[in-house]
Amino acid sequence: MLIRKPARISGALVAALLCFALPRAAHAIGETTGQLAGYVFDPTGAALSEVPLSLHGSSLQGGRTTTSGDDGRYVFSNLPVGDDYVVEVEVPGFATVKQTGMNVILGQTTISDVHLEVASETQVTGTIQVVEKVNPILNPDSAQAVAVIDAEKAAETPIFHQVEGMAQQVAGAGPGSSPVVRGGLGRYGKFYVDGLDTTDITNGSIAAPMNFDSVQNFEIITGATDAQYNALGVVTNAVTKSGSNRFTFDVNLTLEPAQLAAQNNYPAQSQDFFGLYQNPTASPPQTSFYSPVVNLGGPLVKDKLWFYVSYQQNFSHKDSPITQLGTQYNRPTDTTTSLGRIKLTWQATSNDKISIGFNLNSNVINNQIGSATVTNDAESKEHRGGEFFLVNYDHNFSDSTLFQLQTGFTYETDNIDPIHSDYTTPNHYDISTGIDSQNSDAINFSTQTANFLHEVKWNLQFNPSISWTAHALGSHQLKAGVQVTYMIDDQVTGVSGNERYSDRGGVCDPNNVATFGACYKLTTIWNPAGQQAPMDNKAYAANLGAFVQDKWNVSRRLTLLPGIRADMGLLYGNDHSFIGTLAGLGPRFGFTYDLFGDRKTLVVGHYGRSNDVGNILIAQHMNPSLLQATGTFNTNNGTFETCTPTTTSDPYCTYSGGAGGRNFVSHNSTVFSNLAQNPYVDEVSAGIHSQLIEETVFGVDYVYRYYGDMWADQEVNRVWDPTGTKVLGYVNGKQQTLFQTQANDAAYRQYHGMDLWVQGTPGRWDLLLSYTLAFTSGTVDDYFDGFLNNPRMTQFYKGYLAADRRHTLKGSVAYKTPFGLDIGFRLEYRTGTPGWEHASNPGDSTESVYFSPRGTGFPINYVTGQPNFNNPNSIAALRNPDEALFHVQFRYNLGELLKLKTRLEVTLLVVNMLNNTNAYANYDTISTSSSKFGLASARESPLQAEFILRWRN
Amino acid sequence: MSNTHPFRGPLCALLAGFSAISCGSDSNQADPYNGVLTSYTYEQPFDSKFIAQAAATGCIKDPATGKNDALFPAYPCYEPQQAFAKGSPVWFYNIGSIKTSTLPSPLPTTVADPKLLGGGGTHVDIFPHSCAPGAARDARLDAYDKAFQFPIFNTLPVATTAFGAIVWPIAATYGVNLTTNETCNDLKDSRSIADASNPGGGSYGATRTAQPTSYELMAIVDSTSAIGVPLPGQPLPGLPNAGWSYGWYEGLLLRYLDGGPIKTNVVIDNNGVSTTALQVMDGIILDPSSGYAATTDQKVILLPAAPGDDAYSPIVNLHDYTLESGKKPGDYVGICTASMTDCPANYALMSKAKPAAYATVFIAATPLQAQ
Repeated sequence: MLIRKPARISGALVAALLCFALPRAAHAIGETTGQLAGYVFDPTGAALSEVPLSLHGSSLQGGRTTTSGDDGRYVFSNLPVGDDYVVEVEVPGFATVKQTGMNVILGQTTISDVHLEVASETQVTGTIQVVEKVNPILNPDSAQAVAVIDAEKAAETPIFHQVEGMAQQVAGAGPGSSPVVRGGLGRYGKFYVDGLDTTDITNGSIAAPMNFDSVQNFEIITGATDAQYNALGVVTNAVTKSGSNRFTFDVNLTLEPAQLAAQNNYPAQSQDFFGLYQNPTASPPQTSFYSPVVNLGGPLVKDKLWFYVSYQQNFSHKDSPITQLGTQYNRPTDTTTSLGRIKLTWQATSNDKISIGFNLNSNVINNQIGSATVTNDAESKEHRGGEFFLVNYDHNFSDSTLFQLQTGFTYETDNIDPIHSDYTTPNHYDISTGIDSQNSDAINFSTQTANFLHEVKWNLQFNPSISWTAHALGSHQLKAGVQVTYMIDDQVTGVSGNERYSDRGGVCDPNNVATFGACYKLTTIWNPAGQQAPMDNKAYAANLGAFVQDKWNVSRRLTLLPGIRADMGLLYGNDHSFIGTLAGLGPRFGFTYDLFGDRKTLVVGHYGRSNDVGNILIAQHMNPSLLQATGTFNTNNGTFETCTPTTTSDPYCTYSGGAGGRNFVSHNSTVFSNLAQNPYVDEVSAGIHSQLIEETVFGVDYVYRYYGDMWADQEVNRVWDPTGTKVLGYVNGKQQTLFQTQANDAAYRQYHGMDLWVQGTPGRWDLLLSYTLAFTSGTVDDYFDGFLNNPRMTQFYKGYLAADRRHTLKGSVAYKTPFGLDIGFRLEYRTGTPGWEHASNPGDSTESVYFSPRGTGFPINYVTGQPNFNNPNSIAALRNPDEALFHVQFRYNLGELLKLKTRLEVTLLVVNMLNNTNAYANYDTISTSSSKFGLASARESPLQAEFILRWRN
Repeated sequence: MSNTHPFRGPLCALLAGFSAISCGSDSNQADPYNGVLTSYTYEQPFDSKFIAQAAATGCIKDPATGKNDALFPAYPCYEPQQAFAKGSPVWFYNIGSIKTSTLPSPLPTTVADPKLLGGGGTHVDIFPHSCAPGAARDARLDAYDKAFQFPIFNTLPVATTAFGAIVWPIAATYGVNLTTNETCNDLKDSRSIADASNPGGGSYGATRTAQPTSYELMAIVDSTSAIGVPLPGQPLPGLPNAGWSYGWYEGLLLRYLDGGPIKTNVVIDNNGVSTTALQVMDGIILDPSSGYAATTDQKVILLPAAPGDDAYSPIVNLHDYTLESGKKPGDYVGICTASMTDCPANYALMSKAKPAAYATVFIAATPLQAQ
């Protein structure tokens, strides 16, 4: 029986909600599907309940059916992404309606209302066919800040084909492959592949790079996440291609010979001391890249079992220009990358589907440091890689109830070693030249004491969830789930020879009196057992999460998005020693309101909290580090002071690191009895999104975020003089540096930002454009960034952070010509980030001395050439240069010209087309022995062009 | 503060906006703490006499053995210098010397005015009142003590290239009165203290006296420099203070060597014009027969008076005295003046010194007196 039931909501309630209105909403763990929903109306505009609807599409194995609820609303949930869905409604007395061409994209709800008409005589047996042009970007079921980039959009965008590089294209995200989003930390990013969290368990980078062309949809969520996510940063969901009943192939070859990369006087990432490389006597540095890719998909058993496999091999060569002690040469960094993937999808029954994915990657880098600060013999090499394996099981208990299990693991290895695998010859670092002459003194891009590292990481995941639809006071899409993650890390670190020499103007040999003039300091390296040997640290972390959330369609115009999640982290160090428990609640509330009732303008709002309940980074941080005992050379007797772990009372020995280093504040051995604080983010956002032109949405969003209780190490033993440059004594009387690790309420970040954005596909155009005005301030640039290490410096840590990008303009625009040529443009403009003038601390070379608040410095007087630190009135904001980059791509389908049934594409990708090699970072370090302050420290990579030949069906 | 309210940022900004309209500014706000005077580089460097030079081995001693040792970190250092007065050694810090002939005589108190003669001295606000002591200092966490108010300087002893410019370590001190009790060291900037013509116009109602209350030798020195101690085995620099004290300059914490008060006298010249002049005392510098001693050499300076004596002044005109054959620095430990009737054999006769002083030195000898 059809029941007419006007679906309305009181104006007062709407007004009340709007008054409360604050930010916007969200969905998923590892979103893998989208959905299609709408209302069924009779010819008078009244909602109709119990109307049967059916759905078909090539991505959907078999059809789906559902019926409208009491309020007339219907939902097809958990749909594979696809662009050819058809909804069919057949009701006696009404003309049959077939709505075609509907697009379902990842994580979004495509809205398509059905308007029935009384069947006329001619329509009794006919069908009203409606070609829908619904823009799923305007999603009334979600307040999430999200952009979806499908495979085609990704392929027509002038950007290097790396899956981890996609997030930087959306509003609110910074540049790079681990972008800072909304004032957070790069390490907060999450990268899901088919629902499995493949994020590195320590640094937030992607754990398992994968083939770009095997991804069907990227969903990039920059905020307002649903309760199913515990996300402090960007969430990237990559849903890979699954194969279908049709066999497909997709092969391509990327060619970038050295002739296609500009060779500048300022090569990529060159620093000012490379500036001498202008008019080089050596050959210019060269860059080249080659990459063949193969993707195959199709049925193994028609309608039952499908496969998709891919393989990619990269060969990269990059010269680093080196000017070392007056000699110029190029040092080659060669990288070989292998990426393999297989995915099987089995539709076991009409209600059961299982997909299995296996991914592997291997990456070998030689001469990884590539810097003039090390000699060829002090270089390092890295061999890293890993696999991940995932299983997704979906079971439909009914049309309205779905059980999902997402489970799997990631496995990573990382081996960083001296270039010659020399583990016995000690490092020599000459303080007068700043050059390591043997077995570099540190692992590049890390704070590790060691110069070799062998690490194994495991991340095991088990995430069951259940989704169901219900009708009461409107309709509900409920979801609840549990997320269990167990992380293991085994890290062996060491120093070649277990010793390091600091020399002065030569190479010290303590057995050769002729070299004594170069002898300065000798550091011996000790593991926690008191041996001069490598150290093996193990850490474990269990994260437990549970959530429940609803998408409550109160009326056709209003959707409420409540949710809550609870998270707990258990951290363990070596020998499974308990470190602490972290726990937090994450309430979410969002809404969307269709302002004019025409499906074209949405007001969205959201409040939510996510909690960082600890991972391997924190657990390993609590383990001991290698102890460095440093003795100075005594010119009187020609020996180094003998410094061991037991000679801490010797005033001629200095120490850093070691087993006594850190302890965790506010924990004891009883779980739940005394929870430590944990970092969290609170987010409030609001916006209005409107489809002003067909298939194109314009949006304005405001976002406020507060990241509180962030991790910091507080040093508690040293007593500094007022300048903070000399240690006058020690609280416990021992020459020790003691840290308390804590989530400290003084360690925070906050973000205010406003986005103006456009996304859509009007006509032949494809647009993804945004402008962001943002302010990011606080006290910490990262976890353990030195805040609270030296109380004399603490006052200066508050200010604009390194992530503070005041203006960001980014655009990705593609145009498809009618004759097979696609043209893509991409623009990046961002204002410079703050610097912070500082000097090396003579009292502890691992620390800095600051003279003014974060983000500021003292301008140089160009008459004297010096800043005046004794004039607080002259403190000024310190900013790096603005960046402006322009990229372009031309793609032509030769298949169309040759009348082929397949696509044969020739693509020319030009990155940094204007060959802008301006500096984007300046030195903010001052030194009495250097005048680099204010000079360029890093420059844009020069123009690179790639030819891509792609053949696919 | 784990439950920080998510709306705190926007709300605070809103309230701050309203408060600016409705409340106005707070005249009783503590001056911001801007850190410490540095010794890295300076737009206008301190005059050399206020910067410690490279570490002198005599300055750096092993705390355990008292012996100089190359192993011990070598910071730039103020090395204490030994002189003699009335038969006893006197330790002092030599703030520098200038040719006596370049000085006006008598030396007017106006030399304490900043920028006078292209260089000048400094005005220092001192606080005779009782401020409210703050929390007891935690040596690890707090950069400075709040038990008492430090003096506030209005000028730094920066070098100048002006011809004839002299940078004086001489301070005119002004008393400060307040109408509101502040926590000690809330005030850190002389600009927060009103002149006498604007009573109560400063922060906490702080007003300085119309005229200087005294003149003192207060030499601002590198904050990062070590200040040596005269005898081995004593604590290292800074533990405890070795003749230096803390002060403020525009919110920057500074250290100064305290040479103590300088007496003043009214001098009437031949034209009957009276001048308030700083008291200067005449001392001796013992030169070797082969030439001249440096004013920084150990045991070459003889003072006519010791700190605390009425005749004492931290400004000393040095008269050259050529040592007799066989004599060396340290053999003379006092000055025998014409008014003295019974001179010990180890006192140098002032009458044998050159009548005209060649160099004038500024010394900070308190509280490091006779050992």
